[in-house]
This record gives sequence, structure tokens and C-alpha cells, in this order.
Amino acid sequence: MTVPSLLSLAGIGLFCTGVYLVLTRRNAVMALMGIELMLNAANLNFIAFSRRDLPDAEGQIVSIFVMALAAAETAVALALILNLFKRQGSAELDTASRLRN
Amino acid sequence: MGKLSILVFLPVAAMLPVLLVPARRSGWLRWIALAACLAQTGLALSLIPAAGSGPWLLVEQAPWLDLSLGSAGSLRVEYLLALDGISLALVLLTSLMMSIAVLASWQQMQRPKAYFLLLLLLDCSLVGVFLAMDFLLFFIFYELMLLPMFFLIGLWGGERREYAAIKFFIYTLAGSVFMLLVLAGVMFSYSAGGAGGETVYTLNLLQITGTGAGGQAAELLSGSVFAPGQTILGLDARLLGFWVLLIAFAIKLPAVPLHTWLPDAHVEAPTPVSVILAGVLLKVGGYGLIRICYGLFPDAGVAMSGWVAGIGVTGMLYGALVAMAQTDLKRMVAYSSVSHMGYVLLGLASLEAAGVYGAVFQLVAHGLVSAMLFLIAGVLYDRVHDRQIANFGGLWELMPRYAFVTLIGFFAALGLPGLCAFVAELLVYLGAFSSERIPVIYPALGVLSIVLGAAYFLRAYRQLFFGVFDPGKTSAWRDKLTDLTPREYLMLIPLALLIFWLGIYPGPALERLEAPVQAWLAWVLG
Amino acid sequence: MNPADGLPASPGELRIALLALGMPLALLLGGLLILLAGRRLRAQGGYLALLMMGLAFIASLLLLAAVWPAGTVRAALPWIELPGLSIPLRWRIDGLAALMLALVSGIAALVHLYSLAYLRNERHLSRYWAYLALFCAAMMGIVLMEHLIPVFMCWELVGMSSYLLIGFWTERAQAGRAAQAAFLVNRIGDAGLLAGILLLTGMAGSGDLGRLHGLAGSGALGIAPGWQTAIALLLFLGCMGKSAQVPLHLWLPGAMEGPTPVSALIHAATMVAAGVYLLGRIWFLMPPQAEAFIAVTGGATALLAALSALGQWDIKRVLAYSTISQLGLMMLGMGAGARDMALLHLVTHAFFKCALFLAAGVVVHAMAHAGASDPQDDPQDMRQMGGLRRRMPWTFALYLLPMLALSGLPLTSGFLSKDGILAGAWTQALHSGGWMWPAALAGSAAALLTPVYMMRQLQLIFGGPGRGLQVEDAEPLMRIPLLLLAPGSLWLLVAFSPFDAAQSPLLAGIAPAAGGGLHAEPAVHAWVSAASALGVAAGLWLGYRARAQARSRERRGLLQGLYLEAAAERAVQRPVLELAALAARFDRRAVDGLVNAIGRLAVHPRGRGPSLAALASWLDTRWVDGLINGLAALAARTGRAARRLQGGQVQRYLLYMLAAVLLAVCWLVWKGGGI
Repeated sequence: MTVPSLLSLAGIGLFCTGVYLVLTRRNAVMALMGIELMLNAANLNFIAFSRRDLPDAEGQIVSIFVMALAAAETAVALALILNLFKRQGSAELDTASRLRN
Repeated sequence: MGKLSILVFLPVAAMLPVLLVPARRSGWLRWIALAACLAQTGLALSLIPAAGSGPWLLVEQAPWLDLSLGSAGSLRVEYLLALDGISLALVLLTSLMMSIAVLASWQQMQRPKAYFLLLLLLDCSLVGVFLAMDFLLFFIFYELMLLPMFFLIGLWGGERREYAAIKFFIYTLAGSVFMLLVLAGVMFSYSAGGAGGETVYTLNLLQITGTGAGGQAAELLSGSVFAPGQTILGLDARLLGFWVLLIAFAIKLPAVPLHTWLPDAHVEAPTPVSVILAGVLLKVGGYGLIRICYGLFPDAGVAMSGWVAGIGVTGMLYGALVAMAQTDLKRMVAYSSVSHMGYVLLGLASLEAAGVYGAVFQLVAHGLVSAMLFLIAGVLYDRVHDRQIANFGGLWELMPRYAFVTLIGFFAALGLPGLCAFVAELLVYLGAFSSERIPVIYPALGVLSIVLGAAYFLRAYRQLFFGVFDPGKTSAWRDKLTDLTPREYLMLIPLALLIFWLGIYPGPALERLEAPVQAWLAWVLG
Repeated sequence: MNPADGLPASPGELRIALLALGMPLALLLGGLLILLAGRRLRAQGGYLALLMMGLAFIASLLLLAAVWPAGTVRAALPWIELPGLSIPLRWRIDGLAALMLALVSGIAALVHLYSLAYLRNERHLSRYWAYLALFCAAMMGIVLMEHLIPVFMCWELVGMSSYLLIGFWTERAQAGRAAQAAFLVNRIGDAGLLAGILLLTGMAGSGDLGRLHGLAGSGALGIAPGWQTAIALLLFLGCMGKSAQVPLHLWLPGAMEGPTPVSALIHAATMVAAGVYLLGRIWFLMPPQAEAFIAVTGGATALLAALSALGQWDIKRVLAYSTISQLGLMMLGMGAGARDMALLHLVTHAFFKCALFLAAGVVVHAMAHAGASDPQDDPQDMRQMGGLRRRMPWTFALYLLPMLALSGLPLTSGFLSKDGILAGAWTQALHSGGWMWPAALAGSAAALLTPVYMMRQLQLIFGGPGRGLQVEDAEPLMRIPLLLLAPGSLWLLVAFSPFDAAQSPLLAGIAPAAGGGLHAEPAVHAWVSAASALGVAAGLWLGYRARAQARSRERRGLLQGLYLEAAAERAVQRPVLELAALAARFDRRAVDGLVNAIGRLAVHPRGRGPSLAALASWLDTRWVDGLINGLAALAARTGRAARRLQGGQVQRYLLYMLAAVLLAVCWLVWKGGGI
């Protein structure tokens, strides 16, 4: 087993965990954490495959972009969740079914 | 924009100022409408000396729709207005009647704006019908006529106005549907021959009826719907087309037995609308017969002369008999119209120069006379809201001038020499008696209608005017039954003068018809 | 129009032609002026009218002098001039026309003069003068015009103006009825005349009498004999209407409703004369069968009218029936071929009949004033009169003379012309036999009845003891026309010889136009003259003898004009009105009913009941709309089902997404064998 394939396997596991979290957690924060996990699983894969395609470093560059995006996304998402919590007293995803008001 | 287009769309242009008049200034409306109609009359009068080679005095042509049908060629519809002696006479009649109708509407106080708008729209459509020489354009104007007429009867009419308006509408629409059928067939029957030998289907009546103006003659395509020898449902296609168009225009004319919309429409319509209805609208039927029906199917027209004359004579006698039994003045006049329009059919069917002159002359003469008769009936109705002949009597004493004008109107209607209807009747009979296409018994029977006509007009006159006015029965009327007002004179006197002029010296008027009638006869008989 | 047509080239003829045409036109203009300026002119209107008519009389005398006896001037103006259709206004002045013009204008002038006095107190007199002008102008038109279509136009205008004149007193309902009857009965004749003229024009190619005469003379008329008879009878129908021949005579007695001067004018030289005159112009179109018909009609008319005159009580009705009877005699003469005599009788009759009417007018006028206290009295009822001889000597004398002429006593003009007709009729009967026998017999019987009823009338009015009526004799203005007319009853009007009309200088002008005349056999003429002189004397004596019963005896049948009026009403008027009512009912029930039924079948007016619309509505709601509604319901149900998928829960959507991605991956793997 080479390093890249190990990394890929780890990415898959991480991704599945993320998916599981997103689908099952009712709390928005937990779902956000699942999303983060899925993003980072993708990052792992990028890095693993960039190792194989040396000397190109495109995979690593993309993963840096993803990290930057993920940070921004988390900031926005947390702000939204905070607002949601303020309006309805909880961060439950199911109850946020009304767009009006 | 040519003179003809101005003639047609002048009333439409006048609709804009009518729209802009504020409600509290509704008195202006009638002045605007009158000005438009008088301007139209003036323009039409200025066309009388219009020079031109051949029968057509003026032609205005513009491409309108050019539909490519792919490999089948293309379909060309034109904006085509053309003026000859016949249409000039009818356009003059229309604009004059419109002016008189506006004068007769002077006291129109109910929703005057809508009223005058509709009147102007009607004017446009009528002049358009008389000038359009593209079949589709004709049809559009023909249909456009219905709308204002329907509302004018239906909104400003008498007690049973809705019934009358709907009856009028449906009858006429039925006629239009018939015409539309033929229109659809004609649309793919004639080729004007475009560049490079491709087929250009045309509805240009000038080309179709081979009168030379407006481009070269169109060619009847062999194998098309109306080609000679074609059949539809086992019937000769051209005969069928002729009959279908005959029915369409016979409704408008109206010919017996398609006439029953007329008495109802007349009785319910307000006086000015009756004037237009009798004075102009009925003439569209006769004009359509001349231009469209005989123009498209001359061979069938020649073959069907006997039938057409028979329908005409039936109408003459039947209309007169029914008129004799009427007690309502307007109804009687309406049936007299049925009787008099029979002359148009008889004259056309004779296919003799005299008869055709007579038919066209009758269109104008009857327009003038019947307009006068409806104005006369309106005078009484305005005063006491009654039209029953038997309720009056001894009016010579109360309204001598009115009695005198009525005398002129009634004697004109019963065909007294020196008044215009006589010239028309004389020419029609002259043509019918000398025609070999119709049995001599038809005009011989038709002559009886001059006795019947005299009978009902004189009976009505006696009941209305002779004797002593009975104050017991209708005491309240005595003060209301005043003699003619200046405005009524203004409507009646021009008509009377025209009736006299055309009756005493019809020569100049007939000479204007000479070229178109000769061309028409040459086409139909050729 | 021929290039040769138009106004004559020579100045003399041109003057004659323009003068002739100018007469009626000037009259029309004058009439129009009086009508329009009526209020302002007042009485002067009458003087203006009289002046116009007097000038017309002088003009016609000039014409007479210019063309008498055998000159002819023709002229034409275009009226309708189109290729293949030419109706010129062609007029012609010959001896007969000039004589008629003089007769018409002369008598009309006298009538005008008389009317000035007779109608002095009338209102609306401007109308009266205008109507008279139209009437005389139209009559002159008939006399002058040579093309049959303008003749017909004037012919109808005469009818129309007679309508106006008879109905002049509009406040009388009876006058309106009489005027209407006059016009309608005339119109029946006119319809026949029009048909005849147009058939003739169509078949012979021209309606111009001059040209037709030429064609007929050379036998080139080109009309089949059957059609020729039909045309002749149709033309004669027109003459029957105007000249009051049985059965179209019914309007004439009723025409007495008009003012008396109008009656005088209608009965004397105008209107009723038109039929005889026209026949004198178109004689060459009459085949023998038609002539026999004319003679029989004339004879029958003469006899029936004479019988009816015997039973009348109304002074003017007696005269009216006598006119019809005399017109019948003229027609008999026309049919027998003694056309010149018939036209001569027309002239002589004009004089004495006009005088009789004007004198009767004087009597009526006087009676109306005498009975002014009692409006119930009919001033025309002869039973109210009697013994007027002493109070009205002038009128009596001026009544007697024309009455004797009408009766046909020797030494009068009537004797000469009437005997000419009868001699002609008997000669023709001896020659051709057949229907001429009864015609001649009836005519003679009528001639013998004339003195009887005229004497009866004279007795009733003037004879017997006075009845204390305060009547005045005619005032001078009314006497002058009578004085001028009455001498016309003497034989000198016609000829120097009091026994033979054939010597008459008048015939020199009449005969050429009427195509000569039948030369009665001298023997026949002598017998007829002798018999008629005796018969008239006997008739007068008979009428005088019967004076005792005359006042009391009522002959209903004769009074009612042999019930012909009632018969006509029952046989014509009522059926026509019933037919009209039937047609109207048919129109309402059947024609309009069908339309309404179709309408009802299509749409029931109040939306109830079976109709096409109801059927369509049912189809529409059940089937067309049902289909649409069914589709809609399906969509709704699908939607409801699909809504469950959309719970608004993000995680469920993600689950669907995941499933979809997995499915897509599986499909790609299965399809492509690898990612």
C-alpha cells in the first residue's frame, strides 16, 4: 500500500463520516461540522492524487483554495446559524422550514 | 397618403379629437363629427371631375401581406383602394348620409362620446367597403361595419333593441360566413404571375375581374377550386360560389326571404341610425352583388339571370303587400325598402345596359328617398313618441310644412316622374322588358308593384294628414305637434333637392356611370 | 338620338318650338313662385296665376296660327343620352296639338278667372294656384311630347296633381279618400300603360311616336301580331284609367270632392281628355281586335254611365256620370275608326261641359250661402233645390244652352260631333259587323238617355215652384267665364253647316294627326242624324214629363252607379287588403317565425328548454370540460403525491441527492464499465 492510496482511503472514510453527520444530525452546527469533514476529505484526495502526478502541484494549490473557501464558508454559516438561533431559540434544522418573517 | 385613403380614414382621424373632448364640453362632439363628415363630403365631391383613362378614376395600391408558401408559391394581399363612377356615387351617398345622420343626432344626450365614436367608425368602414378592391380588405371593412352598427342599435335603440341588434348581427354575420367560405376558395384560385414563373396567389379584384387597372389580369388557375368544371359535393363549383355570395349579399340587400332583420332593426334603431341603415347599409348588398358576386362568377351570373330576377320580383311584390298591412309607420317604410331593393336584383339580372344603370341608380335613389322617409317618421316620433299611423290624422292643419315635405317624400317613394326613384324604376323596367334572359312575365308582374306602392303610401298619407285632428283622443299632442324646426329643414331640404335634381335631370349623373357600367357589362357578358 | 335631332335650324320653327316648350315650363316656374311666396302674395297670387294662364292661351293661339292646319314642327332635347339607351325629350306641334293646347289653356284661364271669385275666402290659396299650374303644365306636356316615356311622365304628373286638387280641402276625410281613389285607379291604368310602352320600346326599338308611325306605315314594326294586340290593350288600359272607362271610371264621381272649378277643369279639357287624345296619337298601333275592344268598352261605358246618371241626387255627380258617358262615346268613335269625330267631340264637349260645371258651381255656391244657417244641408243635393229659374235667370240661361248641347239637340255643337261618332259606329258595324253592333247600339242608347237625365236635372234645379230659397245670382266675375263658354255650345263652333260635321274646318287640323277618319256613308249619316234629332227631342220631352216623379223617386241601383263601386271594392280592394294581411301574417309567422325558431333552436331566450346551446352546454360540461377537469384532478393528485417529497427538510433533500448520485454512479459503472 502506497501513501497516496492510504490517504485516499482515509479520505473516503472521512467523507462517509461527513455525509453521515450531515444526514443525521438535527443540529445545524453538527451538520456544518459534517460538511467541513466532507470538504477536508476532498482535500485529502486532492493531495493524495497530486503526489502521484509529480512534479505538478495543482492538487495542492486547489486544496489551499478549498481551505480558504471552507474558512469563509464556516464564517458565513456560523453567522446564519447564530441568526437562526436568535430567531427561533434553537439551531434545529427541521424547524427552519419557513422563509418568510 | 392618397385621396382615397384620406377619404376612408378621415373619420378615424376625427375620432381622436372626439376622444379628447372633456365630458362637460360634450356639445363639441357633434360639431367635430359634422365637420369630419362634411369634409369627407367635400373631398368626395372634389373627386367628381377626377380624370382617368378607362373606368377607374383613381387607384391606390400598396403591398400589405406577402406570405411565402414555400414551393407552392406565395400569397399576396394588397392594400388596394380604387374609385370608379359606381363607388364614387356610393361614397358621396355615404358621406352625405353621415352628415345628415349627425344632424339628426344633434340632440343625442345619452353617452354622446361613445355614440359619435361609433358613428365615425361606421363611416370609415362603409367608405372602406365601397373603395376596397382587394377581396380580403373588402371583407375586413365589411366585418368592421357590423360592430358599430350592433352597438348603435343595441345601446341607443327602442324597447326591443337587444333583440333587434342581435338579430341584425347574427343575420349579417351568417352572410359574412358565407362570404368567407368563398373568400377561402378564391384565395387559392387566381395567380397574378410573379417573377420567374412562380405562382403568386392574389385577391386583387381589379386583376381578377380583368378590368385592366392595377396590373395585368390575373389568371384563373386550372385545377383550383373555382376553375370551370370543378365540382363541390357534386355541384358545379362556380354556380355554388355564385349562390353562396348571392345569399351573403341578399341578406344585406335584403331580398325576400332573408329580409326579416330589416323591419326589426329599423323600428328599434334611433332615427339617424335608421337613416344610415336604409340610406347606405343596404346599398352594400347591391354593391357587393355588382362587384364581388357578378365580378367573380360572371358566367354563373348570366346562367342564373332568371332566378335572380325572380327573387327580385318576388321581393318587389311581397314587400309591397306586407307593407300594405303595416300599422307602424317605420315598419311600413322598412318593408317598402324590401320592395324597392327588389328593383336592384331585377335590373342586374336583366344584364342590359338600361337595367344595370337602373340598378345602380336605384341604389342611390333609394338611399336618398328612404333616408328622407325615415327622417319624416322620426319627426313624428320625436314629438309624441308614437309611430302608429292610425293614431294620427288631420296633420295638414297642425303641420302644413311637414305635410308638404312628406308629400314629396311619399310621392318620391311611390315613383312619381320628376323624382329620382322613377328614373331608376323606369331604367330597370326598360332593361327587364327588353332583356332576353328573363321571362317577360317577371317585369310584367313587377309593374303591379307600382300600384301596390302607391296604395300603401297614399293610404298612410291620407290617415296621417287628411281629415280633422281629433283633439279628444290625443289632446296632449296638439301642443307637441309643431311644424318643422330649422334643423329638420336642414336635413330634409338637401335630400328633397337632390331627389328633384336626379329625377328631373339624371343625365349628368348617369353619364358618370357610363364607363364603369359598360366595363362591367363587357366583363360579365364577355 | 339622331344627329338630325335637336332644335330646328330655321329661326321660325325654333321660335315655335321654344314657345311651345316654354309654356308649361313658365307655368311650372310661376306655380313654384306662387307656392314659395304664397304668404306675401296673398290675393295677388291668383292674379299672377291668371296672368300666366292668359299668356299661355295667347301663346297657344300664336302656335295655332303658325301651324294650322297641317304644319308640323318637331324639336328635341336630350334627357337621358347613353350608348344603347336614349330617351330624348322630343316635342311636336301640329294642328291637333296646337288645338289641344289652346283648349287646355283657354279653359284653364277661364277656370282661373272663375276660381278668383269662387274660392275668394279660402285659405291656402297659394297651394291651389300652384297645383293648378302643375296640372295644366303636365297636361300640356302630354299634348306636346312625342316620345312615349316623357308622355308617360306627364301622364303621371297629371294624376298626381289631380290627387292634390281633389284633396285640396284636406280637412275633409272624404276628400282624402276620393283623391286617393283617383290616384290609385289611375295608377292601375298607368301600370298597364308603362308595361305597354316598355314592351313596345323593347320590341320595336323605339318609343318615339314619329318613328313608330313611320315603321308601322312601312310594316316594319317587327312585332308579332299577338304581342301587338297585347301591347295595344295595355296602352288602352292607361287610356281607360285617365278617361274613366268602365271599370276604371270609379274615381271620377268621387273626384267631385274637389272644388268645383277643379271639377270643371278635370272634366272638360284636361285629364279625362288625355286618354282620348293619346289614343288619337297611337291609333296606328291598334290592330282590329284591339279596336273592337275599345269600341265595346266605350259603348258599355257610355250606356252604364248614362243609366247611373239617371238616379243621382248630387248636382255634380250627374255631370260626372254624363262626362263618363260622353267619354265612352268618344272611345266608341276611336274604336270604330271615326277618330276625327271623337276628337272633335272632345273639343265640343270641353266647352259645354266646362260651362255646365261652372254654372253648377254657381248654384252650389248660392245654395251654400243660402243654407249657411244649417250646415247639415248638403248644398249639392238637388232635392234641396227647385224653382231657381226665377231667382237666378242668368245662371238658368247659361245652364240651359250647354245642357241642350250635351243632350245633342240639333243646332248645337254636341249634335254635330256626337252624330259624327254614331254615324261612324253604325257604318263600321255595317262593314265589319261582329262586336261593333252591340257597341254601336249601346252608344246610341246612351245618346238617347242623355237628354232624359239632363232634363231631369234641369227640372230638379230650376223647374217647379220656388222654394223660398234666398239665393243670389252669379256675381260678374263668375258670370264672365260662363258667358264666354256658353256660346261654344252652338253649332257655329264646329261648322257653318248645322247638320254635317264633316265640313268642319276644325277637322282640317285634327284629321292629319289622327290619320284621317272613317267616312261615314251618307245614308247612314242621314238616318242617324234624323233618328237622333227625333230621339233627343223625345228624350227631352220625356225628361220634362217625368218632372213630377223626378223629385220623389229613388232608384237605388242607379244612385249607387249600378253597384259597380261596391263590386269593385268587394272584388279588388278587399281581396288585395286581405292578401296583404295574409302576407304580413305569413311574414311574421312563417318567415320571421322560421328565423326565430332557428334562433330558439340555437339558444333558448331564457336559457331553458331544449336547444342546441343547451346540448352543447351539456356536452361541454360533461365531456369537454369533464376531460379537462379530469386532467386537472390528475395533476392535483400527482402534485399532492409529489408534495410529500418536498418536506422542507434539507437533510432529506441531501439524502435524495446522495441516492441520485449513487444511482448515477452505478449506472455509469454498469454502462461504461468504469468511471
